[in-house]
Amino acid sequence: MKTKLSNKTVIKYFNEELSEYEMKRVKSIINNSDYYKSILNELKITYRLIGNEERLENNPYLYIEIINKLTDKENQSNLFNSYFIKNSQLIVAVLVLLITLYSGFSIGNIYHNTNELSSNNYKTEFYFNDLQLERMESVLLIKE
Amino acid sequence: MSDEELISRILSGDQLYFKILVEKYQSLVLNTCFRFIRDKSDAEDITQEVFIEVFLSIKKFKNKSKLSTWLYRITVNKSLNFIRNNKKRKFFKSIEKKFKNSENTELQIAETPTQNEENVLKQQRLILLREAIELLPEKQKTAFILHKYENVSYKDIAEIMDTSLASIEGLIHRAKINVQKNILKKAKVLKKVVSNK
Repeated sequence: MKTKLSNKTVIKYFNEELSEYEMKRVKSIINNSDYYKSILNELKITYRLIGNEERLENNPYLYIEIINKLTDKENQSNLFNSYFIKNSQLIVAVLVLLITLYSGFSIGNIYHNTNELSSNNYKTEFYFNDLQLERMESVLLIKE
Repeated sequence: MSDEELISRILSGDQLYFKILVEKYQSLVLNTCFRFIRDKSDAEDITQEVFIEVFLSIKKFKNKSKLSTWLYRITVNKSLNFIRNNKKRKFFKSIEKKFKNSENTELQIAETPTQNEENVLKQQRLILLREAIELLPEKQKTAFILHKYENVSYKDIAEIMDTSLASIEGLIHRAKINVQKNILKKAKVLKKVVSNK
């Protein structure tokens, strides 16, 4: 009679995680089946290979390669810094110029605005007579 | 020379001691990278990057943890980042490799008829094992590789992965079961190949 074993059961049997009764039962099934015997054998051999792989050989030039890369990086950052410093001077100069122009313009506007305000508030008209009913311009026109 | 002494000498500006550090830990970094990436030249590139980062940030290293733990952490992070960034590239590379490998094995068999069948079988089993490990989720893979290939203790793995000891135990147990499952699934295919030969 053929009995099917699940992968889970085979693995539990392999790791001896089954109960005593189950271990005996599964063992008898495996012993009677060439298929399960070979599968279990394959699992055993393959799993044993873990950690048996050869290690890679050291690279004797690794330190030099690292130092070269570090130097390259440093040079690149220096290049970036000098480029940034050069450009930043130009940017700062332009910014100062713009700020000066803008502040000058704003100060001028403030003066202009205050002038307008004062002319609106203290707008006076010249009147000719005492009652201040007739304007100077109208009197002059009548006389002419 | 102890690691603490080595670090203090490097911090004082003596580059010779950085060379000693590189020589002392090169194998650890290179092989850990290789277990994750499975490509020698890429592993060498990542190794360089790891040591560059060590050089640039050694001031930040506090002697609270082991130097090797700190190195493992940088190595694992760099390797995982590399894998994440190169998933597509890796996919095409693996296809290319498969074609090359099949051509090569055929050539090898033809050129050296006396080659031991066992060696071929062992190589196939190693490939099967690598594939079974590669299928693991990221955290399980990291814990499993560090424990099984680098013999790092559970406690140190917990520190490297910044997690608890209990969760590391769980991760490694689940990884072990999953690797065995993956081997079982593929063993059937391998059996067919063997029986054909």
